[in-house]
Amino acid sequence: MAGHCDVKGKTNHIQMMSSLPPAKIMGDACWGAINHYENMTFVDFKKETLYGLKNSILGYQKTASDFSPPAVLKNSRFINVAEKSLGYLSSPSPKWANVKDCGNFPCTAPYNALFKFVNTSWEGGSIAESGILKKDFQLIANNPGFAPGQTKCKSVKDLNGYLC
Amino acid sequence: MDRSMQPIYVSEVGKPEYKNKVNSQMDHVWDNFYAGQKRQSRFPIIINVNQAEWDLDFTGTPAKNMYFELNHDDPKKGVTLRIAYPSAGSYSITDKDDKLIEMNQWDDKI
Repeated sequence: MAGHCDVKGKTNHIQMMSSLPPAKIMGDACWGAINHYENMTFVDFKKETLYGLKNSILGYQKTASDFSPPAVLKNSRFINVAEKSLGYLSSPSPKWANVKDCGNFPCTAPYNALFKFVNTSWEGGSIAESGILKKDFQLIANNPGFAPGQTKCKSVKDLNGYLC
Repeated sequence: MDRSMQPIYVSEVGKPEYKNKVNSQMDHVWDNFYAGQKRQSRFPIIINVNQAEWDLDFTGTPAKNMYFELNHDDPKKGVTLRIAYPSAGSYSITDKDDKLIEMNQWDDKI
């Protein structure tokens, strides 16, 4: 999960038994951060888990209402990765739209998320075979007020986002 | 903060049909059984730096002091932000070192 930079919630690497979810932003997220991931290798991601659930490599914390730090992935390798398992960018929860949380409409940080890929390589798997992804590209959220207006971005339903 | 200026609509100049509607941060404060009604007016907004000009439309009165930051790999990249203030007044813009940026001449085309 990208976007974990909180100062009040659980730590990145919990060291004892924890209730689910194991990672959760509880208080104000930190501000102005950019997450950098370099030389990461993702191997054998199928479109579903053993239990038939959606398998996603990339995503943001579902509870991160306030800030989704941009994530930059350099020199990533995707080996035998199914196209549908690349990621899923959650949209803001409709439950946030109440007086106690975000007011009349949900908080909008998830709509302004960005994954930037630099010098990426694809080996095997349906993504490599489809050839839809290049070395350098960006993945943005399914923001109805922004993404459709970007002429170089294409909607991908399985990612709930746009590839640019 | 108690006073709010959201939603803010961010749109590319010339493309008013697409408005990125952004909200303040969540109210995380609890005063015993009551919500704190305090929400940070911080707005992470995605924009395309290949588009030169963007409009910011505040629903409430824009704050007197605002801080803008553009996160991009290329420090030379930049965009113009246009804000329609509801009242006439004089505003000054400073850089990150608090150095005053010289104002430009009035442009009737904008």
